This record gives sequence, C-alpha cells and structure tokens, in this order.
Amino acid sequence: MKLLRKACILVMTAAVIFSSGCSLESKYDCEFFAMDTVMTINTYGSKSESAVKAAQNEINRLDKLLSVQKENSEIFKLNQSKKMTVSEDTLTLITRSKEIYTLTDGAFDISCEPLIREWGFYSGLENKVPSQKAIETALEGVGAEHIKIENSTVTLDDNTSLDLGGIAKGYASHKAAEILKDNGVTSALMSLGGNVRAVGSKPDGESWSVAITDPDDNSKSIGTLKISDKAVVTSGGYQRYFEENGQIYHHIIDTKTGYPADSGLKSVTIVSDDDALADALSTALFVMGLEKSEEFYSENSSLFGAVFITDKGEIYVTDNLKDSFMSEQGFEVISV
Amino acid sequence: MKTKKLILTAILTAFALVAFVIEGAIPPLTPIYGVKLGLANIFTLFALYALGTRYAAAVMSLRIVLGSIFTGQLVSFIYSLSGGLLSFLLMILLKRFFPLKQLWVLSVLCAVMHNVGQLAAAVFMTQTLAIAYYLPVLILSGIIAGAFTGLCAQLVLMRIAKIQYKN
Amino acid sequence: MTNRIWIVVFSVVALLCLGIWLFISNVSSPSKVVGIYKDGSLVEKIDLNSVTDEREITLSGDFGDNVILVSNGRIEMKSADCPDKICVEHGELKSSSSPIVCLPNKVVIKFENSTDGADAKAGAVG
Repeated sequence: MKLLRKACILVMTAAVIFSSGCSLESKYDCEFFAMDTVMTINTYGSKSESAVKAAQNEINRLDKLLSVQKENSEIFKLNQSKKMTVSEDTLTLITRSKEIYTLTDGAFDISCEPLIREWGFYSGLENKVPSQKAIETALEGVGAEHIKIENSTVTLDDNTSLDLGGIAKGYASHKAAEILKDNGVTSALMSLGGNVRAVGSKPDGESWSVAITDPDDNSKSIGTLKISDKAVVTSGGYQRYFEENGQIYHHIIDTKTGYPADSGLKSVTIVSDDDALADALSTALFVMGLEKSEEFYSENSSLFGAVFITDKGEIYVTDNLKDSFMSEQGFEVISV
Repeated sequence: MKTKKLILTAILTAFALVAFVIEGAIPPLTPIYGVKLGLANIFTLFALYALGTRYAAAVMSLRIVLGSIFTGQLVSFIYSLSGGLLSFLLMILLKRFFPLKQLWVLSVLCAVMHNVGQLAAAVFMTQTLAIAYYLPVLILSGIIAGAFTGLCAQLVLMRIAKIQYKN
Repeated sequence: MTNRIWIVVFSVVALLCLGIWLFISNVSSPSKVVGIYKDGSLVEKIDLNSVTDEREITLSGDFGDNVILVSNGRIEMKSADCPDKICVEHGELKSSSSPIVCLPNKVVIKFENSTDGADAKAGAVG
C-alpha cells in the first residue's frame, strides 16, 4: 500500500514536470500506403482524426480511379477500350493535363504510357533499354493531339495510352487538403511520396520548413524552403532508375526523344498554390532543362517558383523564392 | 531548544558550504554539467532528519545563495536553484514515507530529480532540445551520487541515534 | 526488505540508463554538418567536411567570449571566458548525443541531421 502511494506520487510529480514541457496542442499523424508510395498526414487541432480519415479515403478513391496499373481503374479501362465516358475527376485531370501540355510545349505529356512501358518502369516489368524500333513505334501514339475530349467522353487513338502518374499525386494532395480545410483543420502537412502539401502554417503561426532532397545522397538535403499553404513537389532522376552497361537510365522520359531526359538537371522542385500544376511542372521543367525553364519562368512567374539542381551540383532558385530558400551552399537567383 | 537548533543549522550550513567549495575546486570528472557528487547535500539531508523540514530548507537555500557568491559562479545559481527547488519539493513531499533506514532512497530520488530539473532549466535557457541527450547520464549520476550522499547522512544519523539511546 | 526492493529498482534504472547512454553515444552522426546556437537561435551552420582552412568563430555572451575552432572535419571550443570551462574540457564534438554546451553563455554546438528542423522533405524516395 505504502509503496503504491509512493509510486503514485512519483508518477504524478513526473507527469506535472514533463507535461509542462509539452504543448497542449493536439496532434494527429497518419501514415499509409497509396499510389505505390508512402503517404503521411500530420495535423494539428481538435478535429483532426476524422478529417485525416476523410482525406485518406479520398486519396484511396482517387488511386482506384486514376491508377494505370489497377485493373478496375478508369484509366486502365480507358487505355483498354480507347473510348469511354469518364467521371468528373478523371475528366478534369485529362483536360488539365492537355492544358499543361500546351503551356509547356509538350514537355509534360500524359500519353507517355507506351514509352514508360517500353522502359519497364511499371511494377511487374523488367527495366531494359528498348530497341530504337520499339521506341519509334511507341512514339507514334505519343502527343496530346491523340487525346480527344467531347463532353465527358475521352477518345484515344489506337496506339495511345495514358499515364496520369505525373499529375495524380498532385491532384490527390489538392483534394485531400480541401477535405482537411472543409473539416476545420487549419494546420497540416502532408507528404504524398515526396510531394509535400502544407495546409495553413504551423500551429505557432510560423511557416513550415520543407527540405529538398539531395539528389546525390537521399538521406541528406541540399536546402530548405519556408512555405505555408503551398505545394512543394520535386522531380529528380535519382528517384527511380536502373543501370545497364554502366549507363544510368532514369524514369523521367522525354516524350520528344523517347529516352530519359538528359537536360543537365538532377532535380527540379516546384512551389505553387496549385498542387497538380506543381506536380506536372516539376516533370516538365526537368525535361526542358535550365535554359528553357528560365524562359518559361519569365512568362509564368505568377504561377510557380522553382529550385533547380544541375548535374554539376549548382543550385538555381527563382527570384520569388529567394527569400524563403536557405542552403549551406551558395545559389544563383533566376530573375524574370 | 530553538537556539540549539539554530546553532546546529548554522554549523550544518557552514559544513555544506565548505563541502560545496571543496567539490567545486576539484576538476570535473566528465565534461558534462551536473555530473558530480553533491557532497553538500549530506548536510541538507542530515538537517531534514535531525532537525526538520524548515531547517533543512534553510541549510539548502543559504548554501545555494552563499555558495554561488563564494565561488563567483552566479550563472550556476539559476540552474542550481531550479534543480534544488524541485528536489527539495520532492524531499518534503516524500519524507514521511521514508524512515531513517531508507534515507538513502529518498536521497537517490531527490538527486535524480535535481539533475532532471537542472537539465530542464538548461534546455529552457539555451532553447536547445538536443541537450536532453544527457538525460540518461544525469539520471545515472543522480542515482550514484544520491546513494553516496544519502548513505553518508544515514550512517551518521544512525550512529548518533544509537549513542542517544545508550545515554 | 524494502531496502532490497529499492536496490533492485535503482540498479535496473541505472543499468538501463547506462545502456541507453552507451548506445546513443556510439551512434556516430551520419552527417558532418554542425550547427552553432546562441540563445537558442542558429548562428552558423557548417559542413565540417567542406572546411579547408582552419578558422575561429568568436561569440560574445554575458560571461565573456567563446572561441570556437573549426578545421577540416573537426570542431571544438578553443577557449571560453566563463568560469567553469566545461565546454573547453569537452574537446572535439564527436557524437550527436553529446553536444558541446556552454551554459553560462548559452552556446550549444551540435550535429545537425540533414533535414534537421525541417517538417517534411520534398522529393524523398519511398
């Protein structure tokens, strides 16, 4: 009995001391697997748990709808039948993708599926360097002109197939963020397999700090961005690649050549209010290379900001991000 | 009776101060704040069991204030005080559960609490959580130091009790 | 009887702490990036591997100056005006579990994780 009382008092004292060190803000974290990658949602506030569940359900729903590989997805069925009336989400995304195709002069292209398949970047396939002939055949169906939209019916040319992998995660994080906001969450941070989305700012009102992965050592980072209420998406050749005969082939295919983009960049990070745009542009600008991207930025600087890492390891930052980017290494600023 | 206790308090404070100054003059064993024996606590514990809570409080607070002035380490004052206050609170709270035979247990608990309190103050003052890595060492050192000082006080007090019974 | 229980309890806790301490102090820091903090805010971040020329950094606090010596792959507190000199005794910064601390001047030197302080990491794989 006596010992019990002693123990109680000890525990209580300890509790008082330690609880004073913690913030009273409630926090709810969730980690799950969807869209072939690990997703985490961290939220602050009282109503977080149900909100996170709803966001997670939405991401899973979109995964089932937009996946190239899941046999029941709309995209899978569309790729099989080449003509189909699609749901609102799918229609929105395909329309948006065509717009971004035009905006980026074809650097972002969802009709890249046949090429990705040739290179073996789908699970269950083996990575290999395709023959020149195979690439030429695949290229025949590539290009937004092979995708036609009438009302809510999408028609693809015979050798055209779609892969929304370059924009689906961005769209999903946008939808998930909306659900969190609708459920009263004012402070949250999501990572959908390296696609980061901030809802509001940190509970203490400060900006979130988002690190950018070092392309040469993925356990490290090359700098951090201070952002709130924005999406941060990085595309890099380091994320998925294979080696054949001493040559490295990564997963970002330039749809003009049919080969992995060789544009002198190691990674491109896009910061934008628009998640889907950020997702698509990170791929597009990676394909374009630094010089074209600078041009593109001067025409579209209101839409996004970007951080480029070149093959030589230099960092270039667009001027609208220069105050929110920090790095131990020096960096060049790209002006409009 | 009261005068006797007052004199004893003064003597214990003086002893505690001497112990504190001597310990401070010995180069530290490890380059970690808070890893030390805390010899001065022998006298606080002695006062607690021989004289009572209020006298122990006097020995302790006088020792901290005067000790900081004597050694010129006013900085350590705030850390000392935060650790000291916490451990002293625990001491008076738990004293009634520990008879003389278990004085050393109380001493260990207080020493650990003292180190935890000091560490918390250090984390707060420097605003750097990384210092909390030192927690295991400080708990370990608290257990050893607490057991040592506690046993010193306990053994002396038990001897004195025996002598008193004989008379 | 109760004495024995307490001896067991304290021994277990002590061994546990010793174990944890030995464990964390043997984990060498994966990065060689250190941060120097004064009053809780970052003064300078240095990649020790990229240091070529030895240099000194002097920080002034309430209790005089702290002089930090940085050389290739190495950082230490060279001298300090504070009374206890514990930070100087500490020697070279070796493990992320034992940062160099100068309590009087509120200076902390510690290893940084690559994403230290970041809430998320863009472009992370898997």
